[in-house]
Amino acid sequence: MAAYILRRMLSAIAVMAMVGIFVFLLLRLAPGDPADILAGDTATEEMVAGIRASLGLNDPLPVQFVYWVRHMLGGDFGISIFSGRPVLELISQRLEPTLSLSILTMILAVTVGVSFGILAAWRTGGLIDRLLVVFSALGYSVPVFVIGFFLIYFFAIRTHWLPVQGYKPFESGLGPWFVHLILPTVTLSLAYIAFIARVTRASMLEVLSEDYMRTAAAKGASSYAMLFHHALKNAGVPILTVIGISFAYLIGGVVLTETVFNIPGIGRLVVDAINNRDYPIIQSVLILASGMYVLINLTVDLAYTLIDPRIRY
Amino acid sequence: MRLPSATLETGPPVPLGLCGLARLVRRRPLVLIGGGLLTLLVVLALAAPLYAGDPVNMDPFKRLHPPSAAMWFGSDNLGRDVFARTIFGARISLLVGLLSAACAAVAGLVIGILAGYSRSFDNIVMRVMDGLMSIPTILLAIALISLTGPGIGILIVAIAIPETPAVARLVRSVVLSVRERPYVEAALCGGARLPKVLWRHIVPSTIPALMVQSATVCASAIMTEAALSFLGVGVPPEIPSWGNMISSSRLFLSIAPMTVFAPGICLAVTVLAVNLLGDGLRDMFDPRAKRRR
Repeated sequence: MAAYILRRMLSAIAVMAMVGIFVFLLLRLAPGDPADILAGDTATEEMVAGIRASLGLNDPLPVQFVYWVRHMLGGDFGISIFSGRPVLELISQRLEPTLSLSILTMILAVTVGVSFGILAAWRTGGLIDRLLVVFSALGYSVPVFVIGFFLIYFFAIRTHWLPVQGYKPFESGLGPWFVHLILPTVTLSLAYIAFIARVTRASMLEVLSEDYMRTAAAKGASSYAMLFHHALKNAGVPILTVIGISFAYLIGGVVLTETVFNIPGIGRLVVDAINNRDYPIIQSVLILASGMYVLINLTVDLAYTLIDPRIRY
Repeated sequence: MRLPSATLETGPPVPLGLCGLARLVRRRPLVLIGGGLLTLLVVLALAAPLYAGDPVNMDPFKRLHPPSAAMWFGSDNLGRDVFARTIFGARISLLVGLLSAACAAVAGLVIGILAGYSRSFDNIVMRVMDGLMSIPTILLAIALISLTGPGIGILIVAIAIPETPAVARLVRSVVLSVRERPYVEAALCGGARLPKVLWRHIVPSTIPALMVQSATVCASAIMTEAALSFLGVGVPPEIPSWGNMISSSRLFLSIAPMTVFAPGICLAVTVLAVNLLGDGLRDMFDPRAKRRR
């Protein structure tokens, strides 16, 4: 068990190292001088020379890489070209809206997705099951920003039920905060609901055909007990896996949703960074998002043993 | 990471004659609907100059007009015909989507086959693929494009790179199971050289899985292209594409909703067609999965 955890953690570190090497080489191998790119279009010769010296760009690549990693491990992700402030500070200022959106989205996606999947598996070929087929085809095919504009048009512009855009911080009150997040949350979660529901359904169907389910039915267990006590527990591992993957993939959708709804989160930070050609920000978000992905998958892998005692390493 | 993967039973390749194709299509409505819709879209896009009108002509007296007989989808904030722009937008979406998918499929096939056959190559390259897979697709594409500047060529590469690892993994898993089959052993014992065995015996057995995966990659590539254009790093703004149409019309959503909805609906229909085709192909190659789904 301890050996498995250790091995799994080592492989997570190896993957992160690969991400690091890739992002590092991306800037160094791009056409043009890295110092010019990092300094931006308006920089003077001295500023470019200063950046070249501070990053050690005259050193051989492996030496540069060690410097670069050491800086990041120390929490130094570089300086934003546009605002001249540390990138980590800019990111932490934008954390609250993004976290609010992500957490609400996952709560909605997991509750609706898992229940939808269970109900569809319970009566295969029934109304809910057929509804899921249509819903998941749409969820996989309609891009998140298109869903966003449709929802804005029908639930904000036409009916005035909900605010069109914007974000209210948590400290301004639970009500305004929540009202501003309803449409973005629904927009972002539809694809994940489809994804989680489909995997839940497939996983449940596999378990429902087991012999012990027939035994449970024969001894007179209620539908509720069969679905939730006997089946869901045994179908848990794949469901947990897709929830982990969904969480990790959230950032791409967050960038788009925040742009559609004008939410000042990390996604907007990235989009503004594209327009200002502010590469240090893009690079840092890339590394932090990949780190989240690796960390969440590691947690999910280790959590298997907790939810499923049959798994022993 | 454990994915509840749809493992494909790769038996002998399905013979595809014209007659056989017709019979398969009759039995597989998804392939028919998805493929038919996609063919229709390709034809409409290719024939655009013949009927759609001028997508770039601006008319300051016709700004944000509602849909009419002359302009089916109305006009945008610069007085351009939204119908013409939507039809011409299909060209760029399909072009970028299909070419990115083709690049990712070929790169994934080569990497997957080499990784399946050479252990030393496998160890290094699959770790690189793991690393690439953990970087979110859109962010990776944004980083690549922001370093090199916009352009259709770099856009295709930037979309194809994040999609390659999934293809490579799938091909590798098929190769690992096929390389132990008796007919491969027999071919090697019979004196066939390894490259020939790979080409004649291994590559064909990866084709069904590769086709299904390519459809998924293509759908995802079309969505990524639209997303990147929407964010302003995709197709250059002077070329009409669905993503940058939505981006430039978003402020006029309340006055002229068709300027956003027309490209949005076309985008969704295109991705749906590709997804249906992919689902249909999977059912065709792996009937076992259909029963379970």
